Amino acid sequence: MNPDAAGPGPQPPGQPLPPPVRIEERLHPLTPFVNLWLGVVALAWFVLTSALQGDPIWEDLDQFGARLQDVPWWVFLVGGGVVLGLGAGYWGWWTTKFVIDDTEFRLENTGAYQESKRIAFSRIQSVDVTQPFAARLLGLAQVNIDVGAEDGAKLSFLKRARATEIRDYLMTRAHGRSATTGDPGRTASAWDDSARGDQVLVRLTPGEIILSAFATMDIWFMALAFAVPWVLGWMFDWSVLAWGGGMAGLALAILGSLSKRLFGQFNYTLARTPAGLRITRGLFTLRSQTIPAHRVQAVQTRQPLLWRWLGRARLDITVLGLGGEDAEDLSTSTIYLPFGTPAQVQVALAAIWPGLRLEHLQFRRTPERARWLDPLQWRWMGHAVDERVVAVRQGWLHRRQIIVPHARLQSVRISQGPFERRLGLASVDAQTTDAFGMSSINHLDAPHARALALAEMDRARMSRVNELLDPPGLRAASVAADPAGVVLVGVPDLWTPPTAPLPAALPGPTEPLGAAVQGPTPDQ
Amino acid sequence: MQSQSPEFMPPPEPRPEVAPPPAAPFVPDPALDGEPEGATEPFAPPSDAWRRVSPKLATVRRISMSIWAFIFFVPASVAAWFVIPPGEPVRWLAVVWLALGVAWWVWRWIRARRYVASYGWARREKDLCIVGGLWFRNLEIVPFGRMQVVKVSSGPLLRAFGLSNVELVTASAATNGVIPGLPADEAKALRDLIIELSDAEGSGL
Repeated sequence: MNPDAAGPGPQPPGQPLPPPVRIEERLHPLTPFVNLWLGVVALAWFVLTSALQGDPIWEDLDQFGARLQDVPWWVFLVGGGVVLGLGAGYWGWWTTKFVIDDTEFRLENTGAYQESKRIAFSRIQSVDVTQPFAARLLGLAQVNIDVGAEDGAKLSFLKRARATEIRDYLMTRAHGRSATTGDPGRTASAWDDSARGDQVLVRLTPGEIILSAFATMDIWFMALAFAVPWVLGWMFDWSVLAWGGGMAGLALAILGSLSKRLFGQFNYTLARTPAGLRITRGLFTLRSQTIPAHRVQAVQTRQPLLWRWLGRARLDITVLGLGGEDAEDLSTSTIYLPFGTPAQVQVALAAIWPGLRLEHLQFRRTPERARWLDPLQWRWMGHAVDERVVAVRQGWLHRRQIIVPHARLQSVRISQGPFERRLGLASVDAQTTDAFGMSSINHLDAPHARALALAEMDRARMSRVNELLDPPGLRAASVAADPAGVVLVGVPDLWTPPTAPLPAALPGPTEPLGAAVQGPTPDQ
Repeated sequence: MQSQSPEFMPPPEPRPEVAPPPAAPFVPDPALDGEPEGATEPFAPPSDAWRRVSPKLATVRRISMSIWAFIFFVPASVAAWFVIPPGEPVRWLAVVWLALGVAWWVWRWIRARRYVASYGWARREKDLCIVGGLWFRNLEIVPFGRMQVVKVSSGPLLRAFGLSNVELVTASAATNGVIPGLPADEAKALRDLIIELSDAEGSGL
């Protein structure tokens, strides 16, 4: 039953191993317990409490039959379920093995269904380590292998140190570099997942996380919706009103929203590791997520009204294959930086795109006549283009700013509705695979819109070609090796609306491509 | 006709490939080529002219629109007229509904020709441009290098008129690259052209 008996076991650390390294292991034998921990705990709780309450079931064994009849029926149900589940779990545990050798990763199941899942290293998009609450208490962790669209593999559970070892090995191999499986030096704990070489970029204190959770409008709106009927009911003695109207649902919504932000983002740490950027967070379930920086399609800065007064912002990213922000499994979360000052935002952004100088982006307003179409958000609306990214600002109370690298653009659309046509405006939609769906530069001067869209296509093609010549997946290694990878030059001005002059009919002065189009072309 | 800035249309670029591959050459119907009627400046063609979709698509749209209009308006109003007893003023709602349907049908019937005429596609060096729409105009620019899938499809009605839709799929769900109602051989040639060029351009993500 020893998991290590099946294979060669953990390799001796420190030694550069000969090429055919082959790991063939079972998962940790406590796996079925962790999967069923709720049932096991409930059963143990019952036994413990009945023993503590002076029901010494075990001492008078002659009355065992009588005692058994006093036991409530649900205990048998839970007990039977737990025993069945444990049996099935151990059957699954015994028949499951994972194999890592020089060329591939394989998860083999020889139980009732014969299954062998093979994942080539080059297909691995990212590998994350999650420590669910029960596993965390027992020193276990789960390795999630993400291969993009299809469902990847999940190794649950392994010893924490072994999980991080395997994660690091797989990540290194996925980046096309060679490595051995016996790489020492990484010591994950129940609180942290860091090694000596890691460089912590951003760490949020519990106070900041709590502030971020309470400083959102929707919490206060929900609290208001909760409080108003209650106060009214108390004033006018309408007890029905106080407890009707889905109060329980609202309370649950408030608690759920708070707990998602508090528990999910607690102890947030962004660090640069040899394998890439790593986010570690979570109060009960500790999740460790590696961000494939060169696969980030777009970044969104978000500022709710209250956060603007606090001078904070939040960063979301879109990575192909990651779920939404509400993804149940937070290891695929798109929340990149839950709460940060401008300096922290800049550090986090520079970690993804080292060359990006947010403070150098020159935002330009849309024409004054576009105010008719956007009376509220016109002050904040604007766009900026430099040689690497295009950035768009939108929103009134909840300000957003979306940054898309040219190399990640999929297509561009110019659109014009009847009102825009009357005002001589047009919108440009720079489409990428983002989940935000907000990368539209609305209500530009019509000739300007066309020039911008066409120039954007050219820039996208050039960046794409440059990327093919110099793949960023390999470039990331050299950046990571540079200890001064993050150079903080200036704090980006995330907070003031674009004050740049109204755009001329041309793309901005920063780009060499856009100095064209001498006014509207003659009649077609 | 269209004086483009040198930035976007480099003059030294000869454009021999604008014509599709020799295997199935386009025979652009001169009636389909032409000026974009009433196109405002942002929707001008990137090359000399838009290749318009087949005008037969207007007939197809008229037929399918008539079927839907019939299903949506006629049974409801006829049933209402006979179920509601005479003398009730509510009964006239059936007539109003039918009149609404007729008005909508006439409007769509008249607009169909101009709507179809607004659709077109053109090649701009390494991008494919699709234009369309009357009230809400769109000009979609899709690089050949970004196209993941090219679909050529046609329903029974379209097939009866010898037409097909060509749809371009990129990794972005927001991209809406549908060219409706191309003549079937032109659709196939366009598909081959796109596949050839997207292979040459590479890079999907």
